[in-house]
Amino acid sequence: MNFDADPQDEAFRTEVRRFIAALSPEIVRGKPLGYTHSRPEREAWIRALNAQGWLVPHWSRAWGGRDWTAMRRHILHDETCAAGCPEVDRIATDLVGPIIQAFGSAAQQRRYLPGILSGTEFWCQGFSEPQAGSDLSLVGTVARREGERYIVSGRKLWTTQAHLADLMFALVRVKIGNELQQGLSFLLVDMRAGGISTRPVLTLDGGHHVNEVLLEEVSVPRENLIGAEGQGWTYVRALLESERSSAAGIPHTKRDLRRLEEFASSELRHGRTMMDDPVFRAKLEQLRDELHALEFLHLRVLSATERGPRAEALGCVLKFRGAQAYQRVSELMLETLGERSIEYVPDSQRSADEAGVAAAYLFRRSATIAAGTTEIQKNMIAALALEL
Amino acid sequence: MRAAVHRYCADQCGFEARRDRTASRDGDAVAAQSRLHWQAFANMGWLGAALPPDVGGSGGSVLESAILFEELGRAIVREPLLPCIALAAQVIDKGGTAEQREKLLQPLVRGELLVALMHAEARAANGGRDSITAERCDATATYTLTGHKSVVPGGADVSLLLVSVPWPETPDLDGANGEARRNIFIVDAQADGVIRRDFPTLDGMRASEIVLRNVRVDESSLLGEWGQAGEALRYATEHAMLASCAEMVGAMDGLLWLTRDYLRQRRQYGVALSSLQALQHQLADLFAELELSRSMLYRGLSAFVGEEKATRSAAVAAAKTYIGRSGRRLGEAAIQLHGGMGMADEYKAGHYFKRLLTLAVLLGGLEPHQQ
Repeated sequence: MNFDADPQDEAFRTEVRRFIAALSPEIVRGKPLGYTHSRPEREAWIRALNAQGWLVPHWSRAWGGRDWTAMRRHILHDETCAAGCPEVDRIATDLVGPIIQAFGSAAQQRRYLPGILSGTEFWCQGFSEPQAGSDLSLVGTVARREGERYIVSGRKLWTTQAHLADLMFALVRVKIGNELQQGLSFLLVDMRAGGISTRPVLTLDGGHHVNEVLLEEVSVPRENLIGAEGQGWTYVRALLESERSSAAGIPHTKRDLRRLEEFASSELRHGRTMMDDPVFRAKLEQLRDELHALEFLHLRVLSATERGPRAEALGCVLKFRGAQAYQRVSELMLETLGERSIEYVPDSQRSADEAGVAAAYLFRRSATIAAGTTEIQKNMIAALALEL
Repeated sequence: MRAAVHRYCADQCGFEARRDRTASRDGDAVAAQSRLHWQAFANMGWLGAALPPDVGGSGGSVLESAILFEELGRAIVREPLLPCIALAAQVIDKGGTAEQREKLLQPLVRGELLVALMHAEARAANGGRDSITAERCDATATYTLTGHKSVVPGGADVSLLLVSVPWPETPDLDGANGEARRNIFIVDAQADGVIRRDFPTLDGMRASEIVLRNVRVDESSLLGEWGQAGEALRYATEHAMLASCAEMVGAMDGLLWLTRDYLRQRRQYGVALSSLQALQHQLADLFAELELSRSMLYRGLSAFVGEEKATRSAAVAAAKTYIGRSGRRLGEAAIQLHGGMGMADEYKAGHYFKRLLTLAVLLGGLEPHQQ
């Protein structure tokens, strides 16, 4: 493995910066902390990235993949995040897209992948349910087989961006006659189908990020099944790995560290700036070092040169420590602003970074819960790396 | 007293009511409800619990405040008791003349008058100097107040403001009792030049940003004697810090048991989460946070009623910092242990957490105190 500075990488970084600078300001205009880009803003950005061939470098070549090095992928994400570009639909590009390529039929690939590339179809992930959180074996959504269709009923919870999504990939349990299958199945569901209703679940920051999705006798064609009935877990395993590395949020933490430094340089406490307070400086340096380590861990995971269970455990370390660093930077922002952080500003009214500090802090408590809790990551490390 | 407060909070200030009022867009209905609660607080003697009998209080001390606020914390009561009762009322009691105490505190104890303190703060935009100043005009014997305060809890609910300003402007010039000289002016919240922006706070309550633009007051508006407000201000601030410590302890206590009960009923992988040792240990850590915080509160209370000034201030500041930090840690861990439920704004855990966060940064924040 070689992560030495490569002149080609630096040239690529410059190229990315030029590309962003050339885009219309509507797409990349710097947004304040905690700002959630609208769907049209995200669609425009997805189209621009795809036209440049940079949307899905990690996909297979047939669908636009580029065989990039880990460093290159990292640079792209780092730069777009630093510039405040909108988020692409990672649920589509990083989670369901690769699964459809690996396990979907040719017809499914032709039906679903172009919509991801053009940004016209957004996805949501229907895994968690009221009773099935960490333990997905408790999924109770039932897909009753009736001829060439499944009739799906159940309740999904904590579903990120379900209110924006056109399609859902769901874990369900197939029922044939009176028999409920043991294994889970992986089903693609059109969010506009009859019988689907979505209710917002507001989070601590007051924002609408997640939903409850009620499925009542939703009719889904059998051709929407990925792979074989009862084999869903096999496909999901691969997906969870890539979910872990994108959930680590390292480029975001890096960007926010710069914001934190700006706050700390202007906030006065006891007659001096926070930056001049040695206790605060020590906390900042500690976080910066953690982030350096995480960044290289991320490169190791992305480059996938290390193999085996122990290497898989690296992704778990990346996920939980990365999420903690992402929380940590917002904790330090909160400490820096002091009592001025307690104003609650609805996200539609946040014009300055300051106004989003408390909301960011609150919402990020979910970083160590969603996409596999810290406790689950530690269980996996114990099993995979420590062989316990 | 503890039992009475607990009973009223449980019956009248339940979580569902809090949640609905926080989410409500009907400001008038919420305000009417608040007035009813406030009148009930007055009738039960809470407003005068830590005030002497000559102004209608029950003669209690900071200990009565601690009992009251611990129960308020457990119930996450969303009325401005802390800024009005634990802080402003104490300023008036300690710093006011006999006449001012009678005129202001009696209606306050009866629930007819709400007061908040607007204390000058050092601001970067102001070259690090205090942000509120008073200028005297000898000819008319009036003062002109000018300045800005970004967070005044309770500011939206009160009819009088106590404006604390340094006097004279050189902060290192000490008064007779070793305190930096300060003056406090009693200002009508509706007076010309008082510009208020109310905003919701994280914990579902309200605070205000207040600008004073050439607000004219006469000599009778000065609280107590000229230049002597420093001691009253410090005493009241420490009283309020301890009350907020007690409220945090109450909230921590409520949140710990809520979390324990959730882990008992939540089942994953075929077992109750509470049976998993890793999670039991996390709960044990939270219990340690709670009981160390409670101990730190007791230490602060004991120093406040007994010891001399220097030790007292240090003990109170230490309690506030310690419990604030500990409360945030407990809150963060409790959300984590709840999983997705912890993130849902309609669930109680988050309301405890956000109240803890707010209390932690008010009245001296999370950073080490440097008094």
